Amino acid sequence: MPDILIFLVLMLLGYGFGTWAESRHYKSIHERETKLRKLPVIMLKHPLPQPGRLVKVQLAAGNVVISVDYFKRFLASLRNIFGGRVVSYESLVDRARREATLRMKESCPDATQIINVRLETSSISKSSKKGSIGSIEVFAYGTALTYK
Amino acid sequence: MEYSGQLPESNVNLSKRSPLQEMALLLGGLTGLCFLFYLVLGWAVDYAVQYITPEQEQALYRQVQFSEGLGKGAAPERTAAVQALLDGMNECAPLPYRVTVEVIENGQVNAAAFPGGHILIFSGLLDEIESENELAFVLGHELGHFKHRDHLRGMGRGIVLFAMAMFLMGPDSDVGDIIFNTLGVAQQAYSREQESAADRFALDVVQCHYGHVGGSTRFFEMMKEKSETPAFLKYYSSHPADQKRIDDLKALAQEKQYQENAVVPWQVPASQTETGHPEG
Repeated sequence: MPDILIFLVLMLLGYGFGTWAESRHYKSIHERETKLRKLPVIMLKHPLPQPGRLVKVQLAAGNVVISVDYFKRFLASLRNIFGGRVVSYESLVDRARREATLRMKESCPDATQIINVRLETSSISKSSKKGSIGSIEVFAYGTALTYK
Repeated sequence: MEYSGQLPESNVNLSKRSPLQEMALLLGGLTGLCFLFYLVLGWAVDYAVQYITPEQEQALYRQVQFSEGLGKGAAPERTAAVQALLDGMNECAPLPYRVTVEVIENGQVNAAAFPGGHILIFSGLLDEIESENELAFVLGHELGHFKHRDHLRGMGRGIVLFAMAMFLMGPDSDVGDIIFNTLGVAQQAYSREQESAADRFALDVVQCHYGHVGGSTRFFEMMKEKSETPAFLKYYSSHPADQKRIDDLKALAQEKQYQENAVVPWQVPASQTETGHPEG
């Protein structure tokens, strides 16, 4: 019985705080994406045609680690039995990817465009053992070009 | 081409289904499936139990030490006394093997039947009883479990449950623990039916052994009194169950026209307990 109580408390905490943190994060993501939307992020090796003179080239990088909450993890382990889309992890991946991209943009505020952008999931917590930290890590990097 | 930097209007990477909805669906499905599995495998165990011979049972459980971790070792004189009473009852409850009994030092008022023909009696029970007839009823009850092979069924279902949780979830998972705890309750309900069947068997054994059923219900009356003490816990106590068992036994005794005569007092040390009761 105490096990079930602890479990329920963890689930409630996970759901409550997880939902709260997620909605806050999405709000911040939307605001910053709107603010930075004029800075192109492109996957091509060559820059878009750009008037002016190239004055600065630098490496732009941004990474983020986002943890899963207890509720999401439980939901995913249930999905593990039946198969199908792990809906509870979708928002984590989405948030991590967008946050990393935003951080990369923010690291070069004066850039005109960022080219050759790559997204990678780096790995700092990959153990599948019980008790390991479940999290998603995304690393975004590219070449920031500044024209004057 | 001018770069416009437009943001997408909707997020295609997120499913529309709410996590709570997903939770209800998955948990409901899983519980249903497990319940079905458990029912089917439970029936399979019930079916298989009748094909396990007593010899196989003995062989299977010979190595197992059930009393481990329950009490502070055996109490030899008391064990001998209870064993003598049990052996005396043998002709009233014919079993294909000799049932052995062990008294362990433990304050709980309880007794249990284990596979391989082994009964464990907690010394707390011996402290509470007043008559030999009462103890004979308790022993008869455990013999009833052996007779109906409930001990194998209980083990079998336990193993089914355990195997299921392992199979579904792997050896250490939260989901497995939850299922285990939830279904454990259902298993208790299952054994309640078996308890009353064992009660009926015990009543017949006591009647056969002493020629009357006096003292049979005293054990439950004592348990009922004990459980009534904390008034605020009344709702949760098992006394309605105890009362029902008493009523059922009284009704059965009346139906079969069993008499209630004077009881044989139970004494510790055990030397006197074997004297002065009519056999058969």
